[in-house]
Amino acid sequence: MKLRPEDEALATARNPFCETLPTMQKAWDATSLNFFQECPRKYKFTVIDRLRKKNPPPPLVFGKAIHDGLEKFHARIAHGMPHDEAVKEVFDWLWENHGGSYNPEGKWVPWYTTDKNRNVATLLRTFVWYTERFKDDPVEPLVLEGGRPAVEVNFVFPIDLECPDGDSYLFCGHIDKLGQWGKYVVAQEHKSTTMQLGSKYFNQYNPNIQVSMYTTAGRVILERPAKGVLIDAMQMGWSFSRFERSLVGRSKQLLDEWVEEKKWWIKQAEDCAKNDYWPGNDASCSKYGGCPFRDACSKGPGTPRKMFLNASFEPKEQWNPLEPREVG
Amino acid sequence: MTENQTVATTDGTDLSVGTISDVFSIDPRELTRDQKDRIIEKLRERHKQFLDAGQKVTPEMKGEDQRKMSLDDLGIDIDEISVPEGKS
Repeated sequence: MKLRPEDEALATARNPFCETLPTMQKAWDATSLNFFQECPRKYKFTVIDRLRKKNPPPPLVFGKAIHDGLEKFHARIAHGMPHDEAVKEVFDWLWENHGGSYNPEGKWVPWYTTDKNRNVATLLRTFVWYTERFKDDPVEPLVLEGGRPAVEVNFVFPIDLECPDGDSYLFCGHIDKLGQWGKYVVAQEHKSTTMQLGSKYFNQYNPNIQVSMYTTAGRVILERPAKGVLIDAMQMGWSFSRFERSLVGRSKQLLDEWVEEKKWWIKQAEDCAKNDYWPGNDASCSKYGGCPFRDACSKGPGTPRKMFLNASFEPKEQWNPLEPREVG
Repeated sequence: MTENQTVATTDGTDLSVGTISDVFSIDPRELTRDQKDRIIEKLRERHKQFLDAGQKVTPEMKGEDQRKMSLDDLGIDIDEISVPEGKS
């Protein structure tokens, strides 16, 4: 299985924004598309201004930690490390990097939160239980040209839409694992939730930007098209972690329609960037547990809002979906 | 080592964690490989217990604070490791 050479060449591109219109994103990943469609102002705050909450909420911290841990675990297994050794290495990494931090006096401060479902103990438990549940995982990673297992796959490819620089907009992202699951080629993703796992939970991925993006990517960058995304869902409880796996597929017709719709949304973003006007979408403020910028938007535009943003948020590194992720 | 110790948390609040015998309060770099392996084994035992009960939480699991794991339970001697000195 090999990646198309032109996609490998594009992977050297590094600036995700247009040279001629610096607030216009040229390389779009699923996350930034999600932000823009949800609310142009939220997109402006998050992607253009790079604002992040000073104290991120536990679901965000937990989700990133378990996702990164499992990504490391799968990478080790794919590279031939024995199961038990991989469990121990990643267990240590999770605890040392997400179980707390050192204060200025050099003392260990454990990550305790008031969230009973998401804390150090549930993080480590979920990791170990996952590795037990899927010990003999039937999803075999694809082998790419040169013998490299298809884990930590960065993708970038042009779409049929011209950007202000005169070349094409790009779709890009990072897939944890491309594997063979029975007769299907699938992209594998991990999701954590406190929702009960069942059809209602998995229905939220149909439709879903990330699933459509990854399936489109699988079809474009691989010689054999991907069937869809295999979601490994983890239900977090106080005293248990439960796992369910489900394949969320997409037909070619649905994906073609999806790409056309994304082109329309990107043109909307282009209008926002050209006019430097990023309207809020007040139909989205309450979704997903409430937008982090909701309180900022309820302040008057101008100085009051800026003061609030300065107090509660801080600028982080540039949002760059073209930056290859080094899993390690 | 005190009973009902309060530790500073990474979200800026203080939280009482009861006795600091909870292994997950400890700096993991202070634990030996063998001690960490015992924690992993204990987690595996709890997973088996959960599966054997048909993926349900047993009364025994309900009675035990699953956020914690006691050092006694793991056979870890508290005097052999240094523990965080949180605010009290």
